Amino acid sequence: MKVLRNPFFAIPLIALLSIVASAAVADELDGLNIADELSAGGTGIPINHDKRVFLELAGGRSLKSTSSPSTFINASFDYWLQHRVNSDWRAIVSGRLDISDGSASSRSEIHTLRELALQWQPTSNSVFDVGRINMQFGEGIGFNPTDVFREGALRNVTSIIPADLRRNRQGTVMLSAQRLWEGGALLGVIAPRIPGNASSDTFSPDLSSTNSRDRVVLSLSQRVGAELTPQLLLVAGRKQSPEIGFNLSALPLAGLVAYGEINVARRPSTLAAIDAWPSDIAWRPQSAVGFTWSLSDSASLTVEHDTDHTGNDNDRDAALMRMPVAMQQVFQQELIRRQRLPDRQQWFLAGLWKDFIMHDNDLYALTRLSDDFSHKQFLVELRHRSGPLTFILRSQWVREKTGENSEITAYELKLLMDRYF
Amino acid sequence: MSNSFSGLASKTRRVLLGSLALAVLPRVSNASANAQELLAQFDALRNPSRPFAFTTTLLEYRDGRQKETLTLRAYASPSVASGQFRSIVWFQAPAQDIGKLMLKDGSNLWFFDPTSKATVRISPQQRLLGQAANGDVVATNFSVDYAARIDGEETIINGERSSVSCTRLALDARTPEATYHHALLWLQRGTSVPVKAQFFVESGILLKTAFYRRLRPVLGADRPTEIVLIDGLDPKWITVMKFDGYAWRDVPETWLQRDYLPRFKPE
Repeated sequence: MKVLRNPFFAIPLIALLSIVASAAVADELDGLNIADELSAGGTGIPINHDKRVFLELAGGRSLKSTSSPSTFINASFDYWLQHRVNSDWRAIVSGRLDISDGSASSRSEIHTLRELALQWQPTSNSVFDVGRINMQFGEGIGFNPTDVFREGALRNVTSIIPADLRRNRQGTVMLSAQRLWEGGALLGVIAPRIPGNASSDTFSPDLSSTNSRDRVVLSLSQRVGAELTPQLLLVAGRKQSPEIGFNLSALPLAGLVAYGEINVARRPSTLAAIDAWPSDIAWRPQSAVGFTWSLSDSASLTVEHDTDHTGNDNDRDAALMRMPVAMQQVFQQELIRRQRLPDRQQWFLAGLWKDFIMHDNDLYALTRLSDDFSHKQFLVELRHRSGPLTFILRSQWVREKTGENSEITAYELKLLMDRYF
Repeated sequence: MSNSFSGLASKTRRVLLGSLALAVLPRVSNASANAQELLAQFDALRNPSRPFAFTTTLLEYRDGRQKETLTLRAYASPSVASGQFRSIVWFQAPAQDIGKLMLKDGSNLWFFDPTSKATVRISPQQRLLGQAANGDVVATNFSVDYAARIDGEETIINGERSSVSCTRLALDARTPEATYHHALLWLQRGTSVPVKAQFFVESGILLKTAFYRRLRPVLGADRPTEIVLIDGLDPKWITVMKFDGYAWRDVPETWLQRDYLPRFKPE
């Protein structure tokens, strides 16, 4: 601060700082005037807190290496409704109807019954649920090994975005009881087998897909110290060996959320599960470890490493590539049905930039890359909010290696419009 | 281009103002203990010492017009062990956010969506709406998250546009869950009534200025019922946080954990 002792510098500097300070005060006064108008303007119309409904319209063009280019249009109606019967009981119904039509396929209409459940909460520390419930576990973003009810949950895949895959899925029929205490909870679930086959009828509840066998799940959470709340999961059922799952997350640094989850069980590889490989039941852990870093208040980056030992190793991958295309398609369908990885390892990266270039624009991008780059997914979307409407321009590119020198690529460009009511 | 220029000018202005403050304002030595007490009194004035509920409405003004509005109902309970508040925040509006929940339990901040039933851990620093970060909408005790020292005395314009003689506190984050790296807080001299605050990122850039105003008798004390947030880069970007619907409300301990979020049953 020696410079301030020299009048030659100090006088003009103090004059400059005075001008700057005055401008800052003027800005603050302007801001307070705007705040007065905002504050006096009211807070909007009352809203029913027991429903959330939205309509989505979409259109786009699809390019696949296995077929000619096609155009498509989609309309989706999504609903979540709850009815509070009294202070102890509430009913929930939630679902989604997707209608799609395109130049390369006939019109299809698929309704996904996400939830239809009754909840009884006689005290603040005990809760009972019965019905179809979309129960989810897991800390991972791109892959959730401890999401033990994910098998058969995807009735209609509308996007490769993890949040959409969690939202647009059907729950599992179950009876659950939960006991809560300070800093911890114990949950018990019975999910019975419902005989039958998967159904593609428009309004079929498709219960057999999510309840293909009898299962019992126990979940225990307990806060440890002030920072950590680990969760332990045990799963048992017919036609499966017991599973153990574990979830943990922490905030090691300001703006950095670190998380991890693991599921361990004796089970066959996915290739063996579709009878395309000899029986190979063994300990096959699945895990996801990653972090989400808030680069600023408006930008974040997620980096996650996933492993799945039910995925193909080099031998299985080589065998799959020698198989007929029909068997490769069965393998792909099984991956979607079980929500597993094609190979043993995968990297998942995602970034979100709010107010990208201009206000009301968000940029979101993700990629999934298998360790040998034989499976790649890229997605970039630009979201623009305009009053009650959100416009989304989404570009998605998927590449699957199908042989030593062959691959399937699919590119899709889509414009969506969302409106919540 | 003009935005970039005004942003640069604004940034320069903030750096110059910071230099002026450092050079001119008198220092008060050996007053950290007193500063921490003042900060604790400021906390007590914003947040009652018993479990309570309140509604926050966030109104955003940007690009010359009112934009988004968010309404949240929060249930807060002080933790004897940590001295920090534990809160569950229920999103009531707009339509796309109805039923979502945010839980603050120690350093744990969780976000729950009833449609997907997914619970995701989030950081307090991420922006929620306008200039309001996740950490701004849950009840927090600054005296737990920040180390305070008295930084000077100053007469400033308050949120009602009156001149007020203030004590200025400099706050430095001492936990990762603190929403801001450091901050300046002006309290009305001789009291702990908050007047203004400035929040900074690690590099020293001003993130936002907050004016605490509209003191009203609420739950046994005169408390600010409105905070005006003015963006550090764009002074025409304003967020108003209005607080009302205060009520004493027992918050069961069992509510304040991740496993309860899918079960949350608002009043």
